[in-house]
Amino acid sequence: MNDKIDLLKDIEHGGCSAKLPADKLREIVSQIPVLESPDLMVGSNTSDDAMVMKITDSLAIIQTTDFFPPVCSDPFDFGQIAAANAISDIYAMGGAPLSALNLVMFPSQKYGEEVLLEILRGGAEKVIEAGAVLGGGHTIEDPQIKYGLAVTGTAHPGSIITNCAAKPGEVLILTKPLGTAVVVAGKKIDLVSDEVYEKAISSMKQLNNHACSIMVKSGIMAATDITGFGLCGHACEMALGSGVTLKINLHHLPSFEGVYDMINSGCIPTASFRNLRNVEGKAEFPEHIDYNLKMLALDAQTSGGILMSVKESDSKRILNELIDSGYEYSAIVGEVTERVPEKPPVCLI
Amino acid sequence: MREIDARGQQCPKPLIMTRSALSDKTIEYGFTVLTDNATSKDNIERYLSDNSIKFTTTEKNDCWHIQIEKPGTESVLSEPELHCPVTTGKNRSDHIICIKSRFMGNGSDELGELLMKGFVNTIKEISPLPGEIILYNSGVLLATDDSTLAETFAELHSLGIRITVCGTCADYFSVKDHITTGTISNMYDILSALSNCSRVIYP
Repeated sequence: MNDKIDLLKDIEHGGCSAKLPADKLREIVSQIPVLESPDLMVGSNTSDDAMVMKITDSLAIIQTTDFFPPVCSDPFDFGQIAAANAISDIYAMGGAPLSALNLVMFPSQKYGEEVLLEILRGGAEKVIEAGAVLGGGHTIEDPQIKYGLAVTGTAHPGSIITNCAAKPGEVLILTKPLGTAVVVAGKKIDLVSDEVYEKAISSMKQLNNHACSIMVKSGIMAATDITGFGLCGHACEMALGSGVTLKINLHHLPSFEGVYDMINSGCIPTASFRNLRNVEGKAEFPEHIDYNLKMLALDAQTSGGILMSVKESDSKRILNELIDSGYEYSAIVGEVTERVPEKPPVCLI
Repeated sequence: MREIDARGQQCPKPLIMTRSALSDKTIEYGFTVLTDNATSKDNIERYLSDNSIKFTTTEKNDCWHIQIEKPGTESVLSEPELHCPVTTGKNRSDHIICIKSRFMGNGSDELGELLMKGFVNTIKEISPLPGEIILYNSGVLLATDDSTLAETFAELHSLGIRITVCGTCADYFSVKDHITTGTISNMYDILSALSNCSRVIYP
């Protein structure tokens, strides 16, 4: 019934590409008052994926919200992706999703109600898959479709995974291929094959639930999910939060088939340039870098994978478990070293 | 010069068209990209700077003309008015003004700073206009976004004058991110430009 619906038609920046620039955001957020609480375990000051409040000695709640304009043509797919993306922040903190609320902006004059139904149905099915309960939401009229969720999860206060706990000597594993923004931009101008597009869609729909279970089981303490600021941007947050240097090997980055060639042909979304400005001074690129790989590391991801910092001795086993759980592109992409003074916190080689 | 018309196109199409022209072997020396999308203009400029490709941008009737010199070819941008008329009524020569310091002359730095300001502000009044202005050592500080001369340099740039900033110098003073007008360049290109022009003026 939705054969003719293409949500990408009138969207300039979809998905996590639509984020505001990180530096501006930080400046604004730093000026708003916050009630000090001894129970706030993770707040906004460390640029982490979600907030964490300790409720009792054995229970903490994790709260997050995320919504954005369409990142794909089909309404049901969009609902699935937006939900997977919102829930991902819970998984990145090592939590279990508990409940969720819909956040919807919808132009009812422009699209029929079946489009809204498809988006909500896609989201709801993803919430069920994550084992969380959908308890309602809020919908307002707006010229552009936006959809997402506010999600609550739970975890033991002792096993919260943050972006501030990476330790020198550990290695970095990334669980999903990069290039979602390149593929979506390419889709809008018919530069991408159906096969690659479908691959990116199914990757964006994929929950980070199994990656989370593997992290919790393995006692991993440092991770973040890769979204709008790109691998490089989120690596900067992790490096700064942990007080370490992250060395990322560009030649080991997993990406969707054809993405490298698309970047080479100039299919570089605006968000990549915004992310480039955001990491200036924080990330160091070698002089004769492969420009296409650099822009891949800066590609804004929607519902991207998890970047986790793991003990080197466990890395092979964890990598194999990830691949066996369906994250077939998982790869070791770098290592954590002592912070090198006078050098940027992220070093791409 | 070949014209690539990317007007009315959304990102990243204008950049794709630029990239495609760069690798098009039938375009020998350079080409001009037209875009009316400010974000695309910024992205193309950043892409070209990152890849050390020379370009000059002029704005006309809400449209940007980005003249691009293909790497490895001789300068074809020295006479951009042939393809992109700038209505200043001024002649332009291929001479270069080379600014070696933020101060003009030796003696008093305070006086030197005032003189330099006067010098740069006067450039646009003199005919013929230079083809290029090269900034090195503390001269690069004149072209940063917080310099009192920032607008003047932007104006000179819009008149079709190439503004070239020494990359090593911008790095040394940690102002690379604050160079809003001009192209970051290297010793090879700077020396080539100085060697190939008719005359060089040092303030």
